Amino acid sequence: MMDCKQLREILDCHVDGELSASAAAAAESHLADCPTCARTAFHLSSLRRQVRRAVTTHQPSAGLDASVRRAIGAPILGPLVDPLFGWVAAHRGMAAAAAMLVVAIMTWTLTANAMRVEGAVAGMLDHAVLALAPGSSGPIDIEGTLVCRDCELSEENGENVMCDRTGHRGAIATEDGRIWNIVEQPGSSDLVHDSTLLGKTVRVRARLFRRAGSLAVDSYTIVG
Amino acid sequence: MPHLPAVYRMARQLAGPEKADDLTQETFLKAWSHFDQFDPATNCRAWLFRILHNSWISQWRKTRLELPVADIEDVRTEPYYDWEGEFIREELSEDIEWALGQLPDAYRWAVLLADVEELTYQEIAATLECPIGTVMSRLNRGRRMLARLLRTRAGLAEGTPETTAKERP
Repeated sequence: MMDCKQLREILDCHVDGELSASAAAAAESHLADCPTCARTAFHLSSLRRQVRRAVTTHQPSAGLDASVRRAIGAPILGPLVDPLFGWVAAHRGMAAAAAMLVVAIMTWTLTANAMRVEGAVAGMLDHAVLALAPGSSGPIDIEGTLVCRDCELSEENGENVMCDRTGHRGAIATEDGRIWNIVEQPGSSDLVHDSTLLGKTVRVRARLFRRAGSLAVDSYTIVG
Repeated sequence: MPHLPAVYRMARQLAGPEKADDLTQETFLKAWSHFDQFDPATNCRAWLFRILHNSWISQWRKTRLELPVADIEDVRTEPYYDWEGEFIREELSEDIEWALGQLPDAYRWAVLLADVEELTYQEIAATLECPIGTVMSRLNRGRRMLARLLRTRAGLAEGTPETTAKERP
């Protein structure tokens, strides 16, 4: 027969449903005979219930739901994403292969809809807004606005930047919302370091390094 | 969005109402970009909480003065709850939240994951990356501390202050 001390030692496990069937039965039989322990068990269950009630009163806003969906590119995937998470939650035991298949389908959908993807996903996908000939490695002409890359990051993400100490660093923001680093070269160092040029529109002839997000500028003209 | 309410309410308890949205969004973004690492044989919600926990540890954790939990945990878990008698009545939600806010972070995580999200000890241990024994002792001590805080607050409201609110090692 379990005594009070033993019962109290396992009481948390008991109310959390972590005991084996036989240990739970022994606990229940003690609680049935001992009003003091039964009251303590009642208090513990009551505390758990009250914590759950207090915390679950807070619900996310519709705005948060929308912005999470936007951030992960879910608007276009909406019909797919919900069943995916729901399915995963409901069928924990299913094989990993099935999940891989779903991921593969999503990847395909993402690619197929690449032109319409917004937000964070856009950064990961090359949506070819700059009309480049495929495989072109020669110089191209690009027009954009000179911005300080770190200031832009600071504005968008609230990151700490040190432009006030280190000086601004120019980069070219193109119409599609991308920001291209300018590779340090003698002919284009003014674009990088002359902060009086910030905000101006510039047309450059450059080689474009897509993966590095960088432009090696051969020549440029300030157009406005 | 599936699991959004769960992730949000947890973020809110940990980072406060102002930062809860950002922490929630960051958690989903990370989950999305690491979805290939999710094991479908495990609990999706627990996996999200683990990502939430890591994000919170790395940049959202409030720097506040509190006893290192390791010190508190050295003390052997006391087997008895000292709330027999008049306690517990129904508390206001705001009192409960206040008391939760007073708990050391490690205890608050354990209590929230067990009592609100009803994860198993195994899942909580995986989420917090600690042994199951640690989960058990954090739950035991966290709940007792919670009960004591509530009783102290109720006592203060009735004009009979008690001396200690916080556990000492």
